Amino acid sequence: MASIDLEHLCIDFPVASSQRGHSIKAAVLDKARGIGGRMVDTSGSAVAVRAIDNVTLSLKVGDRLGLIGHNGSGKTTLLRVMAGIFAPTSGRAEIRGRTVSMFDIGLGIDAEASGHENIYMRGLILGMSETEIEAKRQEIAEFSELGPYLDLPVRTYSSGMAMRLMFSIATSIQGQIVLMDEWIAVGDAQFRDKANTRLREVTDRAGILVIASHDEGLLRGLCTLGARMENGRVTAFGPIAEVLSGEGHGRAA
Amino acid sequence: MAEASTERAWADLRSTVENSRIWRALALADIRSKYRLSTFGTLWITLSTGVMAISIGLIYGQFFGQDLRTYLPYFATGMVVWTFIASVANEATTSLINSGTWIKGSSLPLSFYVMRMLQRNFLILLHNLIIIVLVWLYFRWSLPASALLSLLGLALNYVFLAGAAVVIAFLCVRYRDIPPMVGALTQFVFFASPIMWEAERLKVGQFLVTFNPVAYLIAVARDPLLGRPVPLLTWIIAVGLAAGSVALAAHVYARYRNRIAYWV
Repeated sequence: MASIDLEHLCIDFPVASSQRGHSIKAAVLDKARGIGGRMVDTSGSAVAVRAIDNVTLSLKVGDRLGLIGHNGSGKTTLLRVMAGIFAPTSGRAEIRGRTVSMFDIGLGIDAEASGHENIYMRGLILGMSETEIEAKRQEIAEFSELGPYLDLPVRTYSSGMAMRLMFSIATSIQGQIVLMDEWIAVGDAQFRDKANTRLREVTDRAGILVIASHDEGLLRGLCTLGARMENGRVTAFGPIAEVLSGEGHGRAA
Repeated sequence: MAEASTERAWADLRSTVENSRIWRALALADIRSKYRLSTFGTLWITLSTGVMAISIGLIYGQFFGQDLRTYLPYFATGMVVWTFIASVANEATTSLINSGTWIKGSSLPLSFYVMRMLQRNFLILLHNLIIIVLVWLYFRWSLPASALLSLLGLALNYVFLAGAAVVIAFLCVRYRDIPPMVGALTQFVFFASPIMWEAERLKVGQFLVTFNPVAYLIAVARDPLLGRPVPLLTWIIAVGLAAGSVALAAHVYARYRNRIAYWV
């Protein structure tokens, strides 16, 4: 059973600097008010940005959560915590179930390698076994409509064709938890419809979906729950329609 | 926190072993894409190391006034093993730093990026073994059955380097002054290790051999192949080095695993 449990989750990013920490710290602190996470002075010597500030929420199978908020409000960071990339600075994050993250779908694409080789490599990176990849190869080839191009190096593809390939691979794997940073739009008008349908299927089949987006209409249609984020905090959480209209209440269930 | 970190480190280690095909495939892809459009392809690896090993071997062999029949095989074999050690040490420094987008974009364990680098250099080593074969075909020194012990020696090198690479890679993410330091240090170690010169001919400075881990690691991989005796103590020290390096790596990994994504 898939589930996501965040409890008093905080994520601090250290601001890298060598010995000049103090002057940089002063400069950044002055500039950084208003945008992004809050600057926190952790130990007096190192400075950090608090990207996620005391977030508590839990999601169970069937939940579709839309993350709303300005740039730098912590949406992507929260997604990366759910993907297991960032460990909590403090608090707890427990994620159960096979997680498929749809950000960076072009990761590991080798332009010199052929489309087929890339299907293999991307498949491995996404955590598919060799038999799983072979089982899906045909379906990926068909969906991408790249046909004989799959035997050519990706370098020879147009950017739209490369996106089709990446999209087809990324959506061929089914996760119990699907994490998405913005809806993925690919291809020309005709392919886009097909891609939307497929992405819809992937998200429908997922036990839990978490998607960050600025497209309120999309979230309204896709999600059941909404969370509004501001400066790393969840300021509103509840049914998506209420959160979007600004009626959601302050605390997560 | 600390417990969760250790737990995850164990999960990573298990995954590194169970899913080794992923980092092995990535390493192979690295090599393939580098030489894909060249005519000689991966033979360039062999050629470039071969030219260096044989030319330096010929020239220095005369300087040291040694019999080329023993010197050239000695130098070429030592050089091939050293190239493996030195490239791993140097590339380890950037193996995590340069994987930033991977680390933040996928859920692969951190150890994969280090193992990918190690495996890539191991594949290069396999190419370089051709040089040793060619040198042997030319000189035809007698190969005792114990020459097979070189494989064990090589395996010890692999294990030692896996541990060392994890430690170096982790430290380098945090302290960006270490990569150039490692570069300078490997140059020094090359001259300070019995690769160009033989330990037995050293008149002063035996400590260069006694307290130099690289001297033991090279000895266990090279000397059996050349029919040179390897003292039991050398084997024990090499095993100890490999075990110590892995233990240290496990410690560093468990301690800093959860911080790396923040630092790259």
